[in-house]
Amino acid sequence: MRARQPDTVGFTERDGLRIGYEVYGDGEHTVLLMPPWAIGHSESWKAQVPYLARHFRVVTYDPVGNGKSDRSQDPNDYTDWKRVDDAIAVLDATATGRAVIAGICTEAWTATLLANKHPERCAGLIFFSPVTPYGESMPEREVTSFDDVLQQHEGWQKENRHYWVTNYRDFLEFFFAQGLCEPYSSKQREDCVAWGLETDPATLIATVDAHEYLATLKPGDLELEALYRNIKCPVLIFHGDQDKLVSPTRGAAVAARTGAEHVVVQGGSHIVWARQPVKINLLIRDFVERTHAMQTPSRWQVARSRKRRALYISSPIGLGHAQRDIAIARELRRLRPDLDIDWLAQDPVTRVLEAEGESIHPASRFLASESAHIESESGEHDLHAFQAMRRMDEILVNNFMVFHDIVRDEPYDLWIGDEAWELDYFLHENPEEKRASYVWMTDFVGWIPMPDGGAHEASITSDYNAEMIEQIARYPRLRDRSIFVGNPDDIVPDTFGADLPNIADWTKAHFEFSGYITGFDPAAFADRAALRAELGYKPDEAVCIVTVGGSGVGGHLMRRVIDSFPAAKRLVPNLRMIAVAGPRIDPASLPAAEGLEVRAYVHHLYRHLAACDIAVVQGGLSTTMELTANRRPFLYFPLRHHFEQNFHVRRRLERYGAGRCMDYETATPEVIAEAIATELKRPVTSRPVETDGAARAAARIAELL
Amino acid sequence: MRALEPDVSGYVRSTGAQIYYEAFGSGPATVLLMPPWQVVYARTWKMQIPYLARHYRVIVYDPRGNGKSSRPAEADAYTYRAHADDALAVLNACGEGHATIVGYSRGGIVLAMLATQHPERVDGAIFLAPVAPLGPPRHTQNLWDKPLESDDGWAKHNKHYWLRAYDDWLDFFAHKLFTESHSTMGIENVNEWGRQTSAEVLIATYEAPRSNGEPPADHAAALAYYARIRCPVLVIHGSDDAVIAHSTGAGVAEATGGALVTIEGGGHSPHARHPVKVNLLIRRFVDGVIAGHPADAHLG
Repeated sequence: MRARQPDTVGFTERDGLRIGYEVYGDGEHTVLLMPPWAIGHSESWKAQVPYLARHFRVVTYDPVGNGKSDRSQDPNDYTDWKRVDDAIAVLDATATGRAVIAGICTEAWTATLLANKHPERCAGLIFFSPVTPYGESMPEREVTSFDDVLQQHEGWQKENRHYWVTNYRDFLEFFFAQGLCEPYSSKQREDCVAWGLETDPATLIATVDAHEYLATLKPGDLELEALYRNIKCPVLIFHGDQDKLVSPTRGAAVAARTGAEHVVVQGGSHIVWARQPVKINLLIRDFVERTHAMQTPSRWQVARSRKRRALYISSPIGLGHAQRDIAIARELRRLRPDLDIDWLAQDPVTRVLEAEGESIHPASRFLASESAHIESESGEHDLHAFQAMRRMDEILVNNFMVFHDIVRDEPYDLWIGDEAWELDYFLHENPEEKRASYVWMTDFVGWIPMPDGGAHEASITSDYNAEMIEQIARYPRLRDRSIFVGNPDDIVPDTFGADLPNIADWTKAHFEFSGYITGFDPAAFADRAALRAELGYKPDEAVCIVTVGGSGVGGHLMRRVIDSFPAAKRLVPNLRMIAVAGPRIDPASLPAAEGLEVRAYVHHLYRHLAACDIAVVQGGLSTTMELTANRRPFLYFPLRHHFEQNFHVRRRLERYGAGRCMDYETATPEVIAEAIATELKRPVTSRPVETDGAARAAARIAELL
Repeated sequence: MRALEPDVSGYVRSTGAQIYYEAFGSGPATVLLMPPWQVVYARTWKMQIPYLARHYRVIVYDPRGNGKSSRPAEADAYTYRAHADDALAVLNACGEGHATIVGYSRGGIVLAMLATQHPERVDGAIFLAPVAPLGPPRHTQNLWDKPLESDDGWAKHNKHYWLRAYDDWLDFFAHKLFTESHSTMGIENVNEWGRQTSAEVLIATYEAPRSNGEPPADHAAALAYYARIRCPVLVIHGSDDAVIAHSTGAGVAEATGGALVTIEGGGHSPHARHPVKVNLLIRRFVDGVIAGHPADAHLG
């Protein structure tokens, strides 16, 4: 799912070719993000658009030849001067007088021409790895020509018109492996290849065959010199020093001729804006603000008069962590009564926080929805949790930028991230951004491939694990506390991947263990009879609660269980089934059944789970562990392809000897009915769940305050 | 011991006074740190000079009436015009055509005059807790030369009390400069520096006639006056400033279109009490001036 939708979409035309554009935000100043070469399109900017659109008006468009713009196979449609016309057509169509204009690679050249022909449209220029006649070429790219008929196509020989026709995808994979040569770039490479596949070799060949004004110029030409000297607006240039597509000497040459600010990203490759989005976003914003002399009054509070403050970032996927985080916050305030806690959170977590009277930071409204993304990734009782997380990359960077703006402007003493992946990942990518004590909490460690993902999935999960291990080893100072919500025996027996450590050994060495945190004290429900009476459950009825947690992924399971109700009722005549739809499933969308009760969101659902006789749930950790802590029988159905539910949670439940794992594939309504009847009769023998987890976690966190 | 000794020091003659100046370091820009009121002198910048001199050429000078500068006796010698001439004379003596200029407290008036009447000499203007006719009335306005019955609080800020009990007033005033707790060193410094001038000199500074080109007292006219400042402007002002109200600095920022940084919980000497923050703010502003970007945002 995209992190932000455009406010306006439209088409304009140049020479009869349609050009698709998008406009985001309504800031006073506009940033025009020109598309890359037609091998890609405007989505290349996906890590920039949501952030910049919170501060400026952002206009993007697709190049002729890709995205939503028309394809042409006439080289005359692709010259550099025609691309200038494209940009002007979009500026006109969006009623944009002036803009800060950003161009990548060849489009930095286009922007240079634009700034000469239409200087009044340029408030500033931002170049990434600019193509220019100045500087050095990449010799390896010029060993063979684009037109030669070759016997073999190794390396840069793939950049060849004949090879493109037959092996386009292989060329793309090679090209973007060069463009993103840093380790741990698999997602960015996949994106680029996918965008490249949205056009075709014949179109892309036409772009190469275009007669470019650029090709008529060479260093030393006064005409060329003038093109750069004429630029009067501020210029910012980014260039990765490991760029394998455009020599960093080119960026340096343009900087020298324009007086530009020249940011050399050390260790950066060609596509730095995708691989290092946080740093690039911050520098773009800073540049645009300075270009327009934007002045926001700023405040800096002297240190000793600041209140003690913590920012709690609670993972928003479902409701799983809300109760435990509130329990920890409560314990923290008990230990540090002067502590103010603000929450950076989103729906549905915010519903729980609001109900508990917690303070939600107003910037939370800028967060892109992780729950909606997860739902968009799910199928019938199916969620590939790892890939869903990977494909959440633009939402994660958007949400990190929201976090960043908050902590830049407001002094917090402590950040607590409960599976706040965006915070942990981008903090390790941008370690200089740490400005408070930081606590990382999680209830699982390690991405585990699903067996049917084969070697490819195993290679990617292990790549992600390797990156995390490397981050922690390189920057041990970032996490001031790493708390595993559980016990050492809960950890899966797997390794992080080929040639990587055993997960349990590594986790024991890098985490401390709080024990499980339910967020409530089961002792409060010791008098079950009273609780049942309070909740309206009669002593002689067998109450079965069906719940699929806080996300909207569980609709299919819920319907399947509802379908089992008549058969179950035959086996257990006093059965009373209550289906709790949760905050993100519309109760009206569920089937009606004789005697079945359907409820929407139920606050303090755990009290009902404590009072019930049996529950049927998904394989999420929080709900199953609430049932375990209350020593209730339950059936749980791990989502297909959900590695956490299938491996991590299951391992933990088996250790506690709690619940009965069910397979959605084979669980017909009759099977479910039979299992309900059986489990109702079977005595619960699971191990008790510790009750001091929140206090233990809070005690360790409080030491940082 | 001083953290950094000047590379150059000397005296320059300026309309009836000898002005002592010092220059430190070198770099792509020059920063002139002007003295405020005569109760202190160039040493007030001791926390700024070593840092800024690693990046720029830094020039400071003692005001006529304190430090190593001469102490004319007559009020006519202490006009704001004379103070502005001192700044220009020091720049000339150092061979500097122009600089980013920092005006602290009463130096804010001098800075406004330089920026409006000598814009070619001012690359950028930093108003630090500035005096300006854009805020509420001062504590002592119209009363400072009247005999008062009380010696309490701001009643000490009075010509007759200065003549009677200068050191006591000085300590009172030093405490007003630092509203933050744990400021004993800053308060001691002001006491020490203030004792190097006299009640007579301070009285002369207050009795100096108005000179041409000063910011007008009328609010609307003052707004128009400050709006003439075209160079990049940064205003730094403490929210708890007990000498010059924060709204004064806010008014300068608004009138000039400059950036305002509020030191939340800060008093009238942010550069002395919160030197790291102020140093970083100055550096960032000067870097923006060098880069040709008209101003800077998000200085916090």
